[in-house]
Amino acid sequence: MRMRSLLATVIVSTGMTGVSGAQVVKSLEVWPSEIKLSGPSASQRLVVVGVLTDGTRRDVTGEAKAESKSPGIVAIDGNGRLVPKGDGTGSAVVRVGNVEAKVAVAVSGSSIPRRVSFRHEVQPILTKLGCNMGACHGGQHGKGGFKLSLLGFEADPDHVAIVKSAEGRRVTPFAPEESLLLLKPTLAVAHGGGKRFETGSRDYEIIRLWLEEGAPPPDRAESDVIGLNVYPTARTLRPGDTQRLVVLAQLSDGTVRDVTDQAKYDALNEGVATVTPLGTAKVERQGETSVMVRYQGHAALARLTVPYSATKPFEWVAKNVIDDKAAAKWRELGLVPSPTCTDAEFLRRVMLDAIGTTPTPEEVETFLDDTDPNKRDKLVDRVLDRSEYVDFWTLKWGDLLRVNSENLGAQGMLAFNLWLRDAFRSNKPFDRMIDELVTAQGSIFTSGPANYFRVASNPEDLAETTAQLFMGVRLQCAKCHHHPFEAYGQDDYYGLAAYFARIRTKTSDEFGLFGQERVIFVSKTGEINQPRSGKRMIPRPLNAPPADDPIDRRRALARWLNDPKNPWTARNVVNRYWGYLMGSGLVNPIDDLRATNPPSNPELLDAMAAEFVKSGSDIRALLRLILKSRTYALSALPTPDNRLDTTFFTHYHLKRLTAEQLLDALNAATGTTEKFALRPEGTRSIALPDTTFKSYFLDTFGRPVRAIACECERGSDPNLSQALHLMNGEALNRKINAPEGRLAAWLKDKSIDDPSLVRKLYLVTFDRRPEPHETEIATRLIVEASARSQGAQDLFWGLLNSKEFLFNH
Amino acid sequence: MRLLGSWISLQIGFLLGFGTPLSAADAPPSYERDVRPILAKRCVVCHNVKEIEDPDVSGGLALDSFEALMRGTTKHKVVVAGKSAESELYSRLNETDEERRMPLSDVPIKPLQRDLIRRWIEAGAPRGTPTEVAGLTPSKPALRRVVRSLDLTLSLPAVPPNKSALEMRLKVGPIPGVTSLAFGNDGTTLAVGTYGQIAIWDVPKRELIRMIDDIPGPVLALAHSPDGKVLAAGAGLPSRSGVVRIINANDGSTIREFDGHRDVVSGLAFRPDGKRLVTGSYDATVRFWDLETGKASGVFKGHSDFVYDVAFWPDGKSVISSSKDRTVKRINADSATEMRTYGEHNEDVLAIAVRPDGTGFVSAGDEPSIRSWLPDADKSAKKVGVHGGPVQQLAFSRDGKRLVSASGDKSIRLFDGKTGAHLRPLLGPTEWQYAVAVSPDGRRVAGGGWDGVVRVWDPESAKLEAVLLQPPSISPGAPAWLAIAPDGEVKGASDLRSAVRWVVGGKEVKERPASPSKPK
Repeated sequence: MRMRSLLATVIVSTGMTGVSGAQVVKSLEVWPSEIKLSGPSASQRLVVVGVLTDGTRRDVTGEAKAESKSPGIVAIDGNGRLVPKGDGTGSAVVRVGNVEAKVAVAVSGSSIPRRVSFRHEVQPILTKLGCNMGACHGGQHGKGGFKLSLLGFEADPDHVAIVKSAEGRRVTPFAPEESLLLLKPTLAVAHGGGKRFETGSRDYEIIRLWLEEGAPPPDRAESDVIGLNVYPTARTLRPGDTQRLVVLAQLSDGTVRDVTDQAKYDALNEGVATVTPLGTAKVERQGETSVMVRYQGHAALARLTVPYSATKPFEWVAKNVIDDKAAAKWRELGLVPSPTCTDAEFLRRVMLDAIGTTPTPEEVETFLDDTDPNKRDKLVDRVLDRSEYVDFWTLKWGDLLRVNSENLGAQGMLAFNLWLRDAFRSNKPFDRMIDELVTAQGSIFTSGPANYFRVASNPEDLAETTAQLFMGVRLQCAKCHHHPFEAYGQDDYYGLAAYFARIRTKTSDEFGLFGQERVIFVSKTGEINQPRSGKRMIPRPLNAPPADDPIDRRRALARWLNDPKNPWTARNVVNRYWGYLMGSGLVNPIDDLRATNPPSNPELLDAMAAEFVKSGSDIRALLRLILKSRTYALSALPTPDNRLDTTFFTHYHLKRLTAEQLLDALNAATGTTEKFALRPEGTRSIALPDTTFKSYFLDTFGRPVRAIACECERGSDPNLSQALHLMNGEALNRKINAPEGRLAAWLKDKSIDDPSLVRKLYLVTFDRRPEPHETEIATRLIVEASARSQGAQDLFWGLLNSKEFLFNH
Repeated sequence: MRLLGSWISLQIGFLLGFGTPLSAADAPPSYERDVRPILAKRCVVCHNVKEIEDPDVSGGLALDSFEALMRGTTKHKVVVAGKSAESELYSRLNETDEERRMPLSDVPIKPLQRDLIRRWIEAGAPRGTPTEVAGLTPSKPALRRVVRSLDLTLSLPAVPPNKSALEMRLKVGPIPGVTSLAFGNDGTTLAVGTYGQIAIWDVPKRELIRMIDDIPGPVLALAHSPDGKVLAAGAGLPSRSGVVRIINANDGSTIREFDGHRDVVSGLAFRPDGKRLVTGSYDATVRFWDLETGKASGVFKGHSDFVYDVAFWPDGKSVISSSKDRTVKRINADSATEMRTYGEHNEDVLAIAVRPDGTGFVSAGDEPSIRSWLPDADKSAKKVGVHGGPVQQLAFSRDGKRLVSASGDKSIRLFDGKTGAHLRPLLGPTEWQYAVAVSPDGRRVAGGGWDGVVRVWDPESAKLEAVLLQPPSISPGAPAWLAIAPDGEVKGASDLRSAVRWVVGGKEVKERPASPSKPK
């Protein structure tokens, strides 16, 4: 079977290369298909893709020859660009071999005198060449006395810095070539940033021309960039292929401009494809990535899909919409999913993922012996109704909402914790949770969600936290400068912050002075100004028209967050839960949703978000949807057909148990308990209301201190002290040898022989029965030890230190 | 696979090199063609004449000219012609010890380039044909030329009986900016510094007396000696050289030049006895010069960034300097050591002026409010915030009763020198103003800036007296100047005069509107 499939691959692949060598171009696809040249300096590059006789496509831009059919209207320059000759409409022909394609060209404004635009021509050069990046002149203090705005988002101050400051030191418009602005980047004068362009290059000439024109300032009446298009938008390629990209900027006056040479290119996954600074992508290996194109604060993506192999059929019975969408992606990429995991694996996995708890030996045996074909679905329903569900998800959201007695005092922390516990116990719809949090008022001792406004107390922090938690948008960059990858600037940031400008805190009359009780209330007045422009901001959600509320601004914000048309809220929560359960998000980092960080499977994310909205923002329903999918139940072991995949969930992602899961699992396995200060003996660590309870173990394994509202605060990276703590630490030995523990009791029980002891140890650690060969080896270990207790302890230690115990698989 | 690929390309390279020598390899490498580009790219950021006095950076070695390269350090040569093994220039590139290998803390120079340097030394280190590169010769002034005929538009104030403002246009732009101004002792002559030039004007006659046009780079500082006989000018090519020229004020001849600054000289001042000069520069140093012996008498390196302005205390014992490092410092003029730092500014300090009675000084810059200081105070005594943009220059009248300022908010303003109260703006400027000066008798104030236009006013009546222009010459060889009276009377080079167009009611007319009758 294995031999045959391998053989098939070989035949197919030789077949492919063999034929493609002889393939000829049958027809041409040209982008942009319709060309508009506006103004005397307009030009347009073309991308030409050849459709071969077998239907596959190849980038033939390099071989294509363009020819003007309307010489009075359009001409072709030395670099293959279309340039205007005179106003009117005409056409050009693109030819590869004897195949041709015709493109329509419309030229306007060709006879207007040429004026170099500081904003559209000079600044993009500085950005493209890296002059204004953070490490150079774009830094907080600039470099060498010359400071530009970071990535060139501020045209007016940049013009002043270049032209006016230091008594005009950097430019000499009456002798353009002598300008420091040209001498430094060509290294005619020593330059810490090295050579950036050549004398006489296109960039040099544009800057020189601008200087000749008297270095005019940015024209306020000039049109702005309102959007960006990249062509082709999506291509399926093979390793080794290249693809030329062309980028068009849409301007507010309705014209378009070819900015292929000025745009910046970044491949989002350089393992799959790389891209040159001039916009040619090259495929490295299989997978899928996008090339991010940036220009003047706008971004666009070109998706490059590189199938792992020719599509292979696989057997797949979808259980729900997740399985449909996941499988569609696999088929597109030539991937085959791993088989379904075993019942024991499924039981352990579901319990850890849904309630942070490992099954008892009895639960394992009962589940394994159950012959009900629907036992897995029933397990999911049962698990979600357990009390640990409240503990576990209160812990998770406690992290994100920063429920912490150090910030809130013990009463505030407990009030917040109890509100969360109630929300998860009653399965409060997520939109109601958002509403209660965002519009909370009152005493922080009695109103749990009011503590949201103590954790973050000023409008800026509240705007950042709200965007991060409920929209998965990281807005922090836009506090001080335009976001480098996104369309957000300071106006957007402070527009959102304006929702929180009227929140005030006072001490309560009853317990204020000594009890530290604070009351959150909404004042009648309060505004926020954008610090750079000094403008007072009206409350405005991101990418949306202003929205206000006569009683409490925050109610308008909550309505917008919960509006089904809001593009972020549902996607954010769905992606987070997918990430918690599946080991990584469809978007990663899982709280960084942006247009330039596309999901690995957009259709899957959209489908889940739609289901979530349809369910009435029901979190348990979302968990059921994922846990009952066949995709969730795939084995963690990769197969030869999907071993290269790390992105498309063809096999379950291994996860190290979190600090709390691990400590609880150790206690459950050894039959010991934990004592936390002021908590009853035996309190589960997932049930702790905050993270201030002293525990060296929990801190070592990455328990967050709840200082920031980022998923990244919880550490999952391995480190040496974790290894030492488990392997050599006293803590683990004490638990194994505890007189009240499981092992001590089993050793005393004369009815338990060695194989039974082995079976029990496997059941409490790996949550499965041992295989016969495992029983045999493990029994021998006990028999051959100097003492039976010694051998059993060693085996227990070994099992607890093995990956099968430490990981959720 | 990769290994195989590079092995093949090595083989090909070897075969080509052996069988068919490329023409470039025929001629031995030369400094100008082959070596200089490598040094320029990888070495001269540290090893340059600007840094030569700072051994921590340059190690006392400059590599930015052929002469400096062949000279080596003060201790030894780094190029021994014909012997690459003995040449440190080459051996340092191949060091395995990262502490010694050049470029320090950077990726090594590529093997092919290293070999080129080795072959160049072995060939006897020939210079080759120098290629003219803009800016690499520190003393060469940049050429000013009419690049484009950009319109310069000037509005003149309403003068009776026309009672309407006049507008004139002239296709001469762009004109170099006015970066320094200084009145002569008589209060009628005005020295104007622009890029490469100093023009000496007779203001009441509205005529050019003299043009000094062989100065490298922008003239950022001008000052007359207390006796009025000497004019000192600070200039230089940005990032390359600093020039201090001492000029005979009577005939414009050069008395001497002081060499020492490595970037443009941005401020200068005479000691009240006229025997010493202090200069500040974008090279971050303050230097003292003895005008009698013609020698440097001290250097102060306490600033960490551009020095913008310097001024002597009236007793001649100390100097005040201001800098991009956001500080003002008081320096002992004899020992060139720091006396104290005034650290209240949060942005560049572009301008300072000391009160003529020695009771204090004022400072301003990118933060536009003007701060008034007592000499021993830790904090400024007063802040006057009138300007809406960077303050570029400040000057007191000789009696201390008036203070004037030039600002990036496109204004020249007059203040009460004692109280700091804002009296009035002097109207006219439409561009960023860089320079301002008061005549010794206090009867004239001159201001100028980025658009190259100088305006002279009577500060008390705020009336405009003259507009002075030094555009690039339309006809080469002829001195190019224009002086315009408030009523529109134009004097100057005939070709420029004839190019003037007048605008009345939005329409261009060839002739100046009927000359108003002159007031008595």
